Amino acid sequence: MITRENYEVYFIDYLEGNLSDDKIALIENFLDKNPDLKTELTEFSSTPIIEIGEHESIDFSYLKKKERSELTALENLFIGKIEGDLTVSELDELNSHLTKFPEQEKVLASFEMTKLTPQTIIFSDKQSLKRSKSIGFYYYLTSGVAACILALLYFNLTTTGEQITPYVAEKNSYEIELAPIKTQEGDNKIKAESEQLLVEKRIRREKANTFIENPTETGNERANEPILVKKEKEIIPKMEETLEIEMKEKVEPELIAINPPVKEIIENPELERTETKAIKTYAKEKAISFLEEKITGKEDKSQTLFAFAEQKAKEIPVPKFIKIEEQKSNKQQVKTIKIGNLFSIKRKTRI
Amino acid sequence: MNVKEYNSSIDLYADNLYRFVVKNMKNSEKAQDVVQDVFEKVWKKRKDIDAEKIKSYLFTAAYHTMLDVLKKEKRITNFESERDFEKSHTEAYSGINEILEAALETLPEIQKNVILLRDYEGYSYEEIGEITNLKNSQVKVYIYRARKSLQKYLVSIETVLG
Repeated sequence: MITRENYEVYFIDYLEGNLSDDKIALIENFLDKNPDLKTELTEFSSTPIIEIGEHESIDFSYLKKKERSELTALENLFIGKIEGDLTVSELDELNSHLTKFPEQEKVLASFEMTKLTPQTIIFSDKQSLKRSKSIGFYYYLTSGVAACILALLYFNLTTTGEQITPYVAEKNSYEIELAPIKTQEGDNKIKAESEQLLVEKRIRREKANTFIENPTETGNERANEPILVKKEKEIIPKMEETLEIEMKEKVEPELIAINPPVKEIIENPELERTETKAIKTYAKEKAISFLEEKITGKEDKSQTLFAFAEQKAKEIPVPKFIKIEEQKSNKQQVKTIKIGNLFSIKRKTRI
Repeated sequence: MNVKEYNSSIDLYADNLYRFVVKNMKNSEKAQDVVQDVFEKVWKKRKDIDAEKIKSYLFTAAYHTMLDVLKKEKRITNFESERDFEKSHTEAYSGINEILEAALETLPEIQKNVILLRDYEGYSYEEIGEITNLKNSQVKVYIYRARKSLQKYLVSIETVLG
């Protein structure tokens, strides 16, 4: 029985003439019912059949792989000479060979030419690979940056960037907190080193021309519990302010030079270019005076921070990427300064 | 090694490292990536690296990083096998260095690497062995075979060019 599943065998027998008349009739009948296979039978018949005689064989040498040509003894000597590998006796052997066959000098020369001459190729991006700090100083750097920010904030933040008006007499409470630092590198070490720096300063202050004392207070009470009254004699509640400084990711201490006119500078890049030097000088002075005057009893750290502040004030350009955000609720006011993705400084004022 | 030594290693070796990698990869952007990866690795492990051995460390790291990249690209299909020399000789060569550059491309990857380390960087068999994880004797064999192949190429070019 011929089917579409087994017809190939019958086709081959048919083409080779091995079928009986009955089978041939069957095939012809099958082809009538399956005309599409007639083409296939024709193709079968046109396929050349390779007949191999008993003593004939097919040449499969083309399948062979190219064998590696091994070095001759002389080639070993040539190469050994240019590589400086030859012993004295080998060198003698080579020299005597060359004396006998001077034409071989040319071959030796061709081996000598295989020495590559180093080309000068410059890797142009070296500076981007360099690092500017080590983790060991990280704590001091971050502390220094924080201190400088604090110095500048202390002098500038509450002035809303309009005017440089340092506070004079003090009578208020500041709690300044350095948030835990996270960086990509040396996380563990930094974690250990970055214990929160809590500098609590009780600063008594009052703005001489802005506030007047509450006439009901006694002198002693005034010293300890300042209640300030505006000129209009309206009593304002005591304020608690918290500054949180958070450093994110890599700390490239390109900060510092936050300055009262920073808002103007952001809005006017041209001003930034022209004012940069003055701003840096100002930042430097303020940072230094803060460090010298306010961090008392921490002379060693102060020295480090002093040096850092001075250095950074000289080097660091004014950041272009400063955002100032303000949020206000019934209970507190939060002012955030974001400097790129590097720092965010929050000043929380609880009313 | 400290930061200063790290930065100094960039000045001293970044060019050579880049040359070694770009000669192999034939792609300047990928070669730059490899060099950056290598220095990144060095920076992360700098505390464990002896500054005096930095060059060897750099080339070893570059060699293996480069192989990883090439393997990913499936370029190394026949790493150990000889390549066919029957390349077109119709290109116009302006000098021996150009011919050698072309000849270099006919070498198996490993031979090319050892020759570049030998001729460009002046490394000994032992140092090349450390970089490539080969025995000294293997390094020597590869260098000898490479020289033979390069010489054969030069002679064939000379014959073609008359």
